Amino acid sequence: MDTGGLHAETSDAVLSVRQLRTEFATRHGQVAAVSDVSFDVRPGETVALVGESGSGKTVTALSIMHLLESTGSIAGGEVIFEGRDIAHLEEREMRSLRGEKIAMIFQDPSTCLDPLFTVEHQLAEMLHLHRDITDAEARTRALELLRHVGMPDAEARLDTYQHKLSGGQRQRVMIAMALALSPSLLIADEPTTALDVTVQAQILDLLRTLADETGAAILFVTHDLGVVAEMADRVVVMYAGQVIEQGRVREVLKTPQHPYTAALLNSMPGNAAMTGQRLEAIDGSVPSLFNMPHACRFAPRCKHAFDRCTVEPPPVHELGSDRNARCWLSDPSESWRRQPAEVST
Amino acid sequence: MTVTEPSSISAEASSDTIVEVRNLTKHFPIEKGLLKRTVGQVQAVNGISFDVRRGSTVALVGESGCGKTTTGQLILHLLEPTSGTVRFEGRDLAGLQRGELRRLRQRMQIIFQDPFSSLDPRMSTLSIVAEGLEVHGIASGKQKVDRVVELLELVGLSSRDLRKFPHEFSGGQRQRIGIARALATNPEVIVCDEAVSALDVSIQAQVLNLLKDLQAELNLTYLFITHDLNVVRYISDEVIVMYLGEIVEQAATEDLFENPIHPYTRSLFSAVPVVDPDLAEKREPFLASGELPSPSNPPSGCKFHTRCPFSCEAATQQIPETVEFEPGHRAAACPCYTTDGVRVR
Ligand SMILES: Nc1ncnc2c1ncn2[C@@H]1O[C@H](COP(=O)(O)OP(=O)(O)OP(=O)(O)O)[C@@H](O)[C@H]1O
Ligand SMILES: Nc1ncnc2c1ncn2[C@@H]1O[C@H](COP(=O)(O)OP(=O)(O)OP(=O)(O)O)[C@@H](O)[C@H]1O
Ligand SMILES: [Mg+2]
Ligand SMILES: [Mg+2]
Repeated sequence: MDTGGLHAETSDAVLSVRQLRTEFATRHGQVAAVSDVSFDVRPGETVALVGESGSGKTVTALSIMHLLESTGSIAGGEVIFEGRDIAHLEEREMRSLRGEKIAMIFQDPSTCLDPLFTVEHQLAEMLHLHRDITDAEARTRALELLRHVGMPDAEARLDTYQHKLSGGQRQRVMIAMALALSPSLLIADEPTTALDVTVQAQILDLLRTLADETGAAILFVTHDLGVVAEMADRVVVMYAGQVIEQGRVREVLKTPQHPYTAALLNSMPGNAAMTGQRLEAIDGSVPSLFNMPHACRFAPRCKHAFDRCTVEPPPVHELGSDRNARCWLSDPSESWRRQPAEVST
Repeated sequence: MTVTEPSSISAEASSDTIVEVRNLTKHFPIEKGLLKRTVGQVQAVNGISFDVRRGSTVALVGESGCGKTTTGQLILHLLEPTSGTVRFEGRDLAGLQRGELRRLRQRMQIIFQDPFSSLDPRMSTLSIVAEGLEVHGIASGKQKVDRVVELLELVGLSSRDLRKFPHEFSGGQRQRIGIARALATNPEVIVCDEAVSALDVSIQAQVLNLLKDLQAELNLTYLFITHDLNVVRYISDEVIVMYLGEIVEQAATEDLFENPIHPYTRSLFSAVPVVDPDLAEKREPFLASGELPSPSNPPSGCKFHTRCPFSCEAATQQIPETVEFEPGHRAAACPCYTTDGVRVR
């Protein structure tokens, strides 16, 4: 029953997050922004972490990286990276893992690019920190990296500062930095959300190509199910701090098992526009961290909720390999309640 | 197939045209130094012409910086055009006395993108929504409160929300307050500038449905500014695609989506991630290269030639004429895909 997620062999995964719980100290006391999050990322695979604003995607990513603010901490669970639990690793050890083994890129590149230094300086610093190389070698490598990420006029860009670069170019620099040391895992938190679609398409293309070439696994955080469909092999859907469904992208998008996933798909205007249907909005809004429904967190907004949903928290039901859903409708004893397929893609 | 000059569109402007835009241009001076010498011009909007039918939704789409917001503000006469005209029910806004303009303003409103910053956090719902009623002397006292309650109910809120402050509402609810505020003066035309862009899809769906219902009920006309093509397909009757301050294509929504003509439009469509994995696989990539050139120094000839997937020489010299390819479906006929105004690829 409730194993808190997949119990597939964790040994072959680059990253296995198990029952992660992350809490913040706030004025109103301790709150859990993420509770019971479990998923795997295997070598070379792209896994999308998807959910609406506030569902805990960034907190999950930052927990893995040990980049939470000082008020936040991992309060339970494990983060197994290449076979070892790093949930409580010391900062010194974590620092050598970051960049070298796990790299992260953010929605806003200016959070990790320093406005006072040139692009070359920042790439070189990164290389010097982890590799024993000369300045000339660092410059050559930096140029190689910029070319590799498709930076137009790469040589001239080496001596530029970030404010002279466009959003897409900054994102390319950040990707170059992230991939400089060939990490085995890249965590990308909404790296294209701030970009125009044509530039987003270029960056997504670049990430796909680089992932294929380097064999790096990617944990891709996004709120856009279209990006999920184009980028990921598997998808992990979050709601109110929990994973509510996960599986292969095609299966989850074609036959969602959790009513939240189905409702999310039905509220996308692209689908409704083509079928001429009215959009199916999800009534109400995401619950506050301070006022979580104690059973199913989605129940107050769920069209299919029945009595059990509001009294007993649903366990994670395993639905074959790589597939699970946190919903009573997936319980064999309740499956008779399930309506025929509801998605209109 | 006819070649149409912008002036010949004006002949078509019929009685149900509520807004008529002709050769509208806005250049912002770029100033430098203490003496504010003008060193250049940002060509934000460059000679655009279109009509908006009463009761319809016209979407303005294009990438960041293409001039959508500027166009919206010119139409509301919040900005003075550099040249060209905007007519509301046939009357040129530029020629109006201040009093006339104020009365006209009641009939045209705007809803902004950001439900968090567009509402004053120190004002209650009542004062926010009532502001327009007071400014225009429409109602006061009990009548005013009644009208506000009526408006709140129209957007799915209630009298219980009168005394609440913006921070007590969710993003979707705040956007509803913004809509109620816009509706207070009984406007006929509403410019929605990225009105749903900051919202999560499930909440976005609530607001889109509301906007559609209100339109049907009140015969509203929307100028819907967005960069989200899925939203466009759902909400609009007609679409205007802009690139660097110019209209590159314009058509009824389904015509445009079924048969995009201009290479820029085609590249936009090809860049939008699609949720359906089957559709995603079938799609032929047609991606624009590089990024948006600066609007202060736009490329010569066809402004898209620097990024066009059909890289063509002719386009660098001559400015393409607008051709009506199908009734109501116009596009800038660049030689890269047309010969003598006939589409060849
Ligand atoms: N430093 C913090 N202190 C207190 N609460 C926090 C803190 N950081 C995040 N949270 C809360 O944790 C929850 C999850 O936030 P998180 O940033 O992970 O959401 P997200 O899924 O990344 O959303 P978005 O799509 O908006 O980026 C939210 O309710 C948020 O308010
Ligand atoms: N007041 C101003 N002064 C100078 N330049 C301006 C001003 N307002 C807008 N611009 C410039 O005009 C161009 C068009 O801007 P506009 O805001 O209309 O674009 P937009 O299509 O709405 O973009 P976005 O999608 O980012 O909102 C941009 O290059 C912008 O920088
Ligand atoms: Mg986030
Ligand atoms: Mg704008």
